[in-house]
Amino acid sequence: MTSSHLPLPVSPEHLEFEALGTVCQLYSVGRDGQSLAEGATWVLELHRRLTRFDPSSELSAFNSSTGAWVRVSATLKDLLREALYAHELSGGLVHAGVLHALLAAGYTHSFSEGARPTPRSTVILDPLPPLGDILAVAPGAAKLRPGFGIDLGGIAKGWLADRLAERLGENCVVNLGGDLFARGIGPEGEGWPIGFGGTTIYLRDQGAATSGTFKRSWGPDLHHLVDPRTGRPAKSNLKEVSVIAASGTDAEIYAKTALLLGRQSAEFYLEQHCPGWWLSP
Amino acid sequence: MPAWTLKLTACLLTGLATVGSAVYVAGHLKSPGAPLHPPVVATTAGHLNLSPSIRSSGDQQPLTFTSVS
Repeated sequence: MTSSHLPLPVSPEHLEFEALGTVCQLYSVGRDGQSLAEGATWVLELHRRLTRFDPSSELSAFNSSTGAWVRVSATLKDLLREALYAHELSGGLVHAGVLHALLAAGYTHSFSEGARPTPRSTVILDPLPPLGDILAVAPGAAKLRPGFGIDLGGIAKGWLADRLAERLGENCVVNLGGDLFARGIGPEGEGWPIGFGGTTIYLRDQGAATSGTFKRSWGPDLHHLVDPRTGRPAKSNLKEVSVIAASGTDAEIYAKTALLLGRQSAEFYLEQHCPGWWLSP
Repeated sequence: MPAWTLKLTACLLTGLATVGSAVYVAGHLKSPGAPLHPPVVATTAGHLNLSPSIRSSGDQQPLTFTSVS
């Protein structure tokens, strides 16, 4: 496309708010501020229902179930199915059944509450079984093996970004704490300009996400990214991975998988799946 | 000059060339200027790899960023 065919630049509507324990940003061309505010309300409502830090949330109720089939909302069912998809896509490395491993490592309350998690020196855990062995999902219901818990922190932001972009129309960006989906041609018709690995890239109907071990960290080798092969916070020679993928969901999965794989394997893996990536050792 | 000195010199030169080549290749796994490769940009803090399908610009200010949350 040549510049003579590009639409005139327009200034996108913008809204920034805090949810999911991070800063979220919405941009839209063609939708007003009210639409963005409704989008923010939707994210906040889902955060309230899906956080593991609130004992009264739907996710906490599911995690306290005793191994029987329990009714779940359509949203939780979709996210649990997404967790199984992430597990499969990552070869088992992106594992939503890490709740007890996170608790054992000291990650018992949200960073957004102000206090840092307490380091625990005697973390003794086993490798996690495949997610399909502990979680089953059916229409309107789900079942969790006793002794295990689900944490959706590793997959929810990308998934929510994709869903919210569907609601916000044909030309928007939904960025939920760095996991994002850019839909449409952007404000100048060339895609949405996104900061990625120290440069600016233009995304159009694509997602991007970053995974890292240094931000939600509370001690030596203690951070929020658990390696299901050990049941402990991952030890990787990468500190941060950013990727581009077809959706925010896939980008989040690929970024976490690459980080867990470590640098050499990550490059081989990402070459098969992603049109772009940034690795930081 | 005895023949063994010529043989020894040849062996040493061969060994040096082998070691030197190995060190150079190990230090230059990817060449930013190589043709038919995806663009490779080395940054001080990491390694960026973008396929030709991804358009980038170092001059344009981004609207938002992907980042660790």
